[in-house]
Amino acid sequence: MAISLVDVDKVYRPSRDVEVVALRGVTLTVERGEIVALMGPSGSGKTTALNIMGTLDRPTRGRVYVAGFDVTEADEGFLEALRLHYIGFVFQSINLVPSLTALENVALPMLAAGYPRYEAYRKARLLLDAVGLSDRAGHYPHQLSGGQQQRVAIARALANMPLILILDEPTSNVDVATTRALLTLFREINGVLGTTIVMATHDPEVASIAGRVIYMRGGVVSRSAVKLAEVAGEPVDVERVRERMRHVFELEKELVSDMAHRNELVRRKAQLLP
Amino acid sequence: MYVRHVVLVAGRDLRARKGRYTLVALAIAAGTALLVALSTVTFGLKVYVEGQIRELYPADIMLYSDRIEIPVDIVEVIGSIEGVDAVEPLILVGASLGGRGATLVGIPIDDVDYFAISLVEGRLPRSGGEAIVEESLGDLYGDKAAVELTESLLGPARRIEVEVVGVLESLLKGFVQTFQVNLVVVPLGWLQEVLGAEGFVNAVLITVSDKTYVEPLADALKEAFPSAQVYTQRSLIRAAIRIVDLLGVFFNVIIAVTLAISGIVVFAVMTITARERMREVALLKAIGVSGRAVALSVLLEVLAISVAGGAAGIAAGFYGAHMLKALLGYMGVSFDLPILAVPEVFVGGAATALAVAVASSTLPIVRLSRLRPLEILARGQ
Ligand SMILES: Nc1ncnc2c1ncn2[C@@H]1O[C@H](COP(=O)(O)OP(=O)(O)O)[C@@H](O)[C@H]1O
Ligand SMILES: [Mg+2]
Repeated sequence: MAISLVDVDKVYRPSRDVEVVALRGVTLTVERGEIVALMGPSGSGKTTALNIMGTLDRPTRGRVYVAGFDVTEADEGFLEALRLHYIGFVFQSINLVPSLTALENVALPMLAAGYPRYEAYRKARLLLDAVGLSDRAGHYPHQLSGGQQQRVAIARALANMPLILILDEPTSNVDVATTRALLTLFREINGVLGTTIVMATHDPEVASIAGRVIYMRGGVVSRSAVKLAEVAGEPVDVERVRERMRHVFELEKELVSDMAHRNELVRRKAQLLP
Repeated sequence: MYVRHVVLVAGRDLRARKGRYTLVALAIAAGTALLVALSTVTFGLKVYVEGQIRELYPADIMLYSDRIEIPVDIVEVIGSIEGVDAVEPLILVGASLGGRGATLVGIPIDDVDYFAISLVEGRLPRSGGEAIVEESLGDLYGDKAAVELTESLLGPARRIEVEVVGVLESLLKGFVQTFQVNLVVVPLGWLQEVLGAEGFVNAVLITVSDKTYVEPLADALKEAFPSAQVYTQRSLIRAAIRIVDLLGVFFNVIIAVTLAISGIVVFAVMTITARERMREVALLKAIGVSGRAVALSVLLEVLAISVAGGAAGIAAGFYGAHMLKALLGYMGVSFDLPILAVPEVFVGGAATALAVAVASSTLPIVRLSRLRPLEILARGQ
């Protein structure tokens, strides 16, 4: 099991006597290697649920488990490390540091994790290559289109080879063709790296790559359905992708085994990597 | 904690906002420059004043009385004490000269070398009734002048006619008006005669070979002449330095105001920048960059800015001290103020630049590092 929410409530108090119940009694489990889509109208609690799964927010009630850790009351330092090594985020809007190039944005989490500089940039190049942006490495975010920025964000989210990828409406700012390309990329990542993917979306086409769809309404899980007819985008040629990602993967395994003796989280992650 | 990402983010942000950060550096430079310039000038003044006092008052000890009551014979006695190099008797009298305050001084003309008098014009007095005057009274050169003594412990009011045969270089130049002593120097023997005080003086200058004799000798003199005052050179210098320090206090107020303004500029710019960077920092924290790393990154930028500003300020301040001296020159203050490169002043300037910059950006830095990513990311769109 990758993520588990047990009877989670989330109540926001924007001011003293206003209460917003964003989640109410949410219980759900995401298994390792799954692609799960959260669907539901705006304001139904999708982002709140993702933030709690991603340890960015804490539940008002209930328990949260991520990658085998009970994170409900874990301290901030532990959660920072967990997010750095285990979780990749693609947010709804803010995703890149404006003063850094695409390459530097992708390298940043690796530098923060203590990868050697040269290796971090080498792997960042491979990741940009994997999302089809090797020719944009030196560009700044404002020089990239929305879809390109989103792809850089995905490369950045993958930088530390997370076990879990959390995507909040990852295609809300991009055109149809880019959406298709991104969906293919998500399936490749999931298929080849075994990365668990949880995403929120309005778009049925995006949801179609999920093995399971969880419908939300007014902060509660209204329905959970195991999927669904045909999958959007190209069929994934796992062998081709595996070949393309091989270098990234080898480099990651090498780096992680180098770092494992320094960091308990990394050591455990090394065992969980496929 | 790893720092490569910290350095990367700091470096790129510095580059992205270099115009604004240059402004911050300039604000720091301005404060530092003023500090260094004024401190350098104050230091120069102290060196100058101390040097001038040593020249004006070459003796280690001065015995001084309001009355002309010290027997000249004492000179022999003191001179025979071990460690005493030279003893010079003299008379010092406050006077006025055509309405100007002056000091009438009688010195033994034979020992004129001791007083290191340097003439700008004319010659030394040879006989009674001849005098040399300080540059500030230079207009009297070649004329007769009437020195007026008011009634005092020295005796009744009277007029003394002198002929000005020479002009001596002013000590302390035009530094501060109150320091102008307007010396009128005449032969001691003649002055004693005129004042009806043959065999007596009211001041004795003593030079010793070893400075450790100064205190015991001064103590002994105090005991021997309870009605007279005993000054040591060191105590005089201390007193003069205290006057310069007073000027320093005034300077410090100016410096403090300027540094406060620098601090406000740093605070304002860093607060605006922190606000602008909230989205970026929220993202960094969301992807697992620690609050400490964020704080360190901004701190690194502040340090880089203040090192640059501080260095520029020190250079500008030292150069500015020269300009200040030139400016004083234009304003008619024409003494040769030494402008010295004082390491303590530079170090103080650098430390102040850092302290001001760090202190005034602490609040924005703490706010950024404590930022909760969700507050920003939730409002993202
Ligand atoms: N920080 C917050 N403060 C107050 N209310 C919030 C906050 N974040 C979300 N909410 C509220 O919680 C509910 C769920 O929001 P959200 O999880 O963003 O929904 P979704 O992502 O499905 O559109 C909404 O009613 C929203 O207004
Ligand atoms: Mg949302």
